[in-house]
Amino acid sequence: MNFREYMGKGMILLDGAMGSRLQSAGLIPGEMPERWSLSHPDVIENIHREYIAAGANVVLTNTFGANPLRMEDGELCEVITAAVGCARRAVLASGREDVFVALDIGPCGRMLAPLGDLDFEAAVAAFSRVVTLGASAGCDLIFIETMGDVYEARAALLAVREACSLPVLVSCAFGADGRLFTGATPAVVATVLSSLGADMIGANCSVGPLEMVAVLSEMAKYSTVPLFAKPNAGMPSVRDGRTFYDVSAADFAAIAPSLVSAGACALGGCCGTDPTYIEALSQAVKKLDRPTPVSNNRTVISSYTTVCEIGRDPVLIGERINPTGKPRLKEALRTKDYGYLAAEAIGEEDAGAHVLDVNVGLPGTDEVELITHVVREIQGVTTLPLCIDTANHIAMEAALRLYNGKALINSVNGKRESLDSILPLAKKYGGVLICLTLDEQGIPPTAEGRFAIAEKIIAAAREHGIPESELVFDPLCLAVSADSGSGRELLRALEMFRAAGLKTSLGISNISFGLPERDAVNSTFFALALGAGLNAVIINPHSTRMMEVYHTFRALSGIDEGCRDYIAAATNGNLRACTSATAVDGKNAPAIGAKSDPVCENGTSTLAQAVKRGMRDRARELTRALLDSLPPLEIIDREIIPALNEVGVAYEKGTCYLPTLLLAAEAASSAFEVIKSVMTAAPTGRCTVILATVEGDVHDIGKNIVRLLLENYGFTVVDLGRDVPPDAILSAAREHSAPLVGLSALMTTTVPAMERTVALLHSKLPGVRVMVGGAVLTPEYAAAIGADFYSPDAMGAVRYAERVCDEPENR
Amino acid sequence: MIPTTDLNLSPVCEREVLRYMGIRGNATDVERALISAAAADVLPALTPRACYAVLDVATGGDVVNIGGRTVRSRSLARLLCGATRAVIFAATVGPSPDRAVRKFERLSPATALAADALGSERVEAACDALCATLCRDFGALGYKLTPRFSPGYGDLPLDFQRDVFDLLSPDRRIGVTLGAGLLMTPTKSVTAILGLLPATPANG
Repeated sequence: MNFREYMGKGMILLDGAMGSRLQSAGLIPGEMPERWSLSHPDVIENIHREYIAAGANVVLTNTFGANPLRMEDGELCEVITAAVGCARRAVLASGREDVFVALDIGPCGRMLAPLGDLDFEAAVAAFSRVVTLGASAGCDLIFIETMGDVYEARAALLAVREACSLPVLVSCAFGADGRLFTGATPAVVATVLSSLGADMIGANCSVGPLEMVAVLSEMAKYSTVPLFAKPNAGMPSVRDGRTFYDVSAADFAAIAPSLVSAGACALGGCCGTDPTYIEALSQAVKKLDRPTPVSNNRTVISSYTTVCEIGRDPVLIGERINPTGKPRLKEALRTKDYGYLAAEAIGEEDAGAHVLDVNVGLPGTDEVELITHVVREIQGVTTLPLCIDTANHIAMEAALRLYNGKALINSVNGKRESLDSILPLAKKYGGVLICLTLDEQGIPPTAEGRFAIAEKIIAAAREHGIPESELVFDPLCLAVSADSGSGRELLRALEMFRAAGLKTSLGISNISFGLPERDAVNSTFFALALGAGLNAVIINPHSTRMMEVYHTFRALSGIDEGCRDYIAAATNGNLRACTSATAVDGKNAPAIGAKSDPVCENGTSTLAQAVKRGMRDRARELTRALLDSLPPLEIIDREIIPALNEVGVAYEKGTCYLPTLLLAAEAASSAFEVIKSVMTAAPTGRCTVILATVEGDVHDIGKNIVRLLLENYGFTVVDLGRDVPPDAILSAAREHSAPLVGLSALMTTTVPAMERTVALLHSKLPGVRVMVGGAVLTPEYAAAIGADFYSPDAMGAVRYAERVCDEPENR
Repeated sequence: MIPTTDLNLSPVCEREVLRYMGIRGNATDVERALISAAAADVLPALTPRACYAVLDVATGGDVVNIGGRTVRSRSLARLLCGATRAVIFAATVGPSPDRAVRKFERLSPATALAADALGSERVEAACDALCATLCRDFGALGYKLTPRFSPGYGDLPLDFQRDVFDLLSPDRRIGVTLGAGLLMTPTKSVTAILGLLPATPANG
C-alpha cells in the first residue's frame, strides 16, 4: 500500500521529536544532528524503532537541516541517503505495512528576497536537490516542516511538485500570536498551500497542543485538503542549563480530541516529545473517528499576509497599474522606474482598494521581464493580493510562479487556445480565474449566450481538476453608446450567474465608452450591477463617485450592519477619496508619508520657500501655477535648485539636519513630477551616474538619499539597487556610458566586494570615476581600495558629481 | 533555549529616535510628523521576540571558549573575566520596520529614515527588556550580569555571528536569518553575549 492509499483510511500518527532525543543521546549545541546518520546510524535507527513501537505510522528522516545552502553536495547526498536508510531499516524491522518513511525538510536558514537575500528560484533549486536525493534514496513521502515564511513554504512545495510525484505534507510554525514570522495567518497558509498541491497541510512547533487548536480551526475554514498537527510538549523553560517542557504525555494526549474536532486527520509531536507522547496519542486516537473534512467552496485569494474572499461583500480591484491611457506610467515602465509603480500601488491601497490589478503590457518592452520585476516590487510594498493581468501566457506563468500568495488570474476565456494555456497554470500554481465569456465567435449579444460560454469554461476547468469555486465570470461590458441594450443585457447576465451560484466580476468603465461625463455613467451602472449580484469590480479607487456607490451599497444591502462602516467613511471624509491627493496626469496622485503639509508660520508664497520648508503639496501647487507663465527650465534654475542649494549648505554647516534635507528634496521631487508631466521632451539631463549597494550588502537608505539629490540636481541616475555583483555594475556603466559610479556599503564584510568592484571598473573602463560612501568607510580606507572620491554625506556626493560632469570630456 | 514573545518594551523614546535620525536636541513638529507617519506602519505590526541559551565559558588570555566554540578577542575576554557561564541571545522586532522603509523609500525618504530610526530604537528597547528579565531571573540564582557585547564590537570579529547562529538557531526560534554577508534579516535584530558573574560582596 502506498501512502496516498493509506491517507484516506483513518487517523494517522506522526512521530515525535528527533532533535531533543539526540541531545539526550549526547548531541552538543551547535553540532549538526544530520551528521549522526553517518556517525551514529544505530542511534538514529533506534529512535525510529521506538516511535514505530509507540504507534507512529510516519517516521521523519534525520534530514531537517540538510540543504545545499548548508552542506556541500557530496555530504548532502551521504547524509540524506544514510538518513533514509536508517528509517527504512527501522520500518522493515517492524514488519508493519502501515509505516512510511517521510523525507524531512526544514527551513533552509536564509530569508527569501525582498526581506532577505535569497532569490526565490535559488530556494526552489536548493529544495529540489534535497527532494531528488531523498526520492532516489527511497522515501515514501515528503514532509516539509517548521516553515516560518509562506514564501519559503511555497518554494519548497513547488520544488517537490516539480521534482517528483510523491505525496507531500507541509507544516508551518505559528507563533504565540497565531502568525508565521513573516506575518501570514492560518487563513493565508491554508489558502496558499492547499491551492499549490499539498496533500495535507498543518502546523508544528512553536507552541503546545492547546494553542494549536485555534490555528487548526482557522485553517479548516480555508483549506481544501486534510489537516494535521504536530505540537511541542508545551512551552520550554531552562533549569540548570537544561530545557524542560511543561506539558506531560498524558496532558498532551488529552487535547487530541480537541485537535481532531478542529480538523486534524493526523497527529504527532515536535520539540520536547518522546515515544511516551506518541504512545499516549496512539491510545487517545483509537477512540476517535477521522474527521470528515468540511468541503470548502469559498472563492479566496491571498497575499502573503492577507486573504480576500470574493463573495457577498463586493471586492474592489484597483485598476491604475495599467499603461493604457497613462503616459507617465508608460514612461515609468520604459525607464524601469519600478518605484513609480510601487507608489501607485500604495496610493490605491490607501484609497481603499482590496486587490490590485497589475498590467504591464506595453509594445516595445519585454513583458515577461517587466512583469516579474513589477510583481516583485509591488508585493514588497503592499499587503494586498494581486490580480495578474496579461494576455501573454508566458508572462502569466512567470508572474504566478514568483507571486507570494494566491493570485487572481486575469484572465482565461472560452477560446480553446486560452483554455489550453491558462487552465494548467491555474492548476499548477493555484489562483482564482477571471473567466471572460467570449470565444472564437466573439462576445455573445445575449445573457444566455454568455452563460453558455461560462458552462463550457466550467467543463474545461473540471477536466483540469479546477473546481467551480476557483472561477469568477466576467460577462463583459459593452459600450451602451454603441448598443442601447447592452447595459440591460449585462444586468440580466449577472442575475443569471447569481441564480446559478456563480461569482462575477466586471471592468465597469467600458460601459461609458464614447459618452461625456463617464464617471456618472460608470457609477450608476456600478450600483445597478451590485444590485444584480456583482461580486468584484475593477475600478479606479480614487474615483469619489465609485467609492460613494460602494460604501452606500454596503449599507443599503445590509452587508454593513448598522451602517457602521458607512458612517465611519462619511465622517472621516473618506467618501471624498484622498484628501491630500492632487491631480497629476489628470488623475489623482498618491500621497504617502506625512499626510498633509506641516503648518507653517510665515506662509509660503514662492516655490523656493515651499521647497526649503519641505512642503510637498504646496510645491506641487505653486509649480503648476508657475508653469502658466514661466518655461520649465527657468522654474528649475530660478526656484528649485537655489532652494535645494540653500538647504544643502545649511546641512553641510550643521545648522539643519538630514530630515530637513530629505523633506526639501521630496518637495523638489514633487515639483519635478509636475514639470515632467507637462514637458513633451525629457529635459537634457546632465551626465549619467550609476548607483549601487555592493554585493552582499542590503543597506540602501544612504544610497537612496544620494539618488534623490542627484536626480533633483538634474543627473540621470541609474540605480541598480542592493546586493549588486561587480559585473552588473560594470555592464551598466558601459551600457549607459556613465562617467561616474557611486558605491555604497555598510558592513566591514562587504567592503572587499567594493574593492573588487572598484578594481574591475578601473581596469575595464579607465576614465570612469568611482565615488564611495557608507558608514564603515573612512577617507583613508577609501583611498586604500582605489576609490576616486569618498563622501561622508549625500551633499558631498552631489558636489563631486557636479565636478566630474563639468569636465570637458564628460559634457 | 527559550523563545520569548512577552517582552515588555518601554514606550518609544523620541530622543533616541531622533539620535538615530542624526539629530541632536529636541524634535520639532516636522520630525514629530515624520515619526508619527512611520510609527503608523511600524508599531502595530511590530513582533518583538528573543531567544537565548546559557553556555559554559572559559577565558585564557585573549582566547574565549564559549559553548565549545573558540574565538580570539581581548575585549570579549575582558568582559567575561570571572564568569564560568554566559548567556548568548538573539532579539528582533520582526520585519515591520524593513517593510515600512521599503514602502516609504521611493516617495518619502524622510519617512523611511524615521521608520529605520524607529526600528533601531525599538530593537534596542527589546534588548533592554530582555536583559532586565535576565537580570531578574539570574539575579535570583545569585548571578550578576555583565553589559551586553555583540559580534563586531571591539575586536570581537563579525565572523563570530556564524557561531552564534550555529549555537542558537535563531532562524528556527525567532525568524532571524543570517545572510551571505553576515547581515541579519530582519535588519532590526541584535545578537549579544553577556557574562554571568557569581555575585560576591565585591561585585554586589
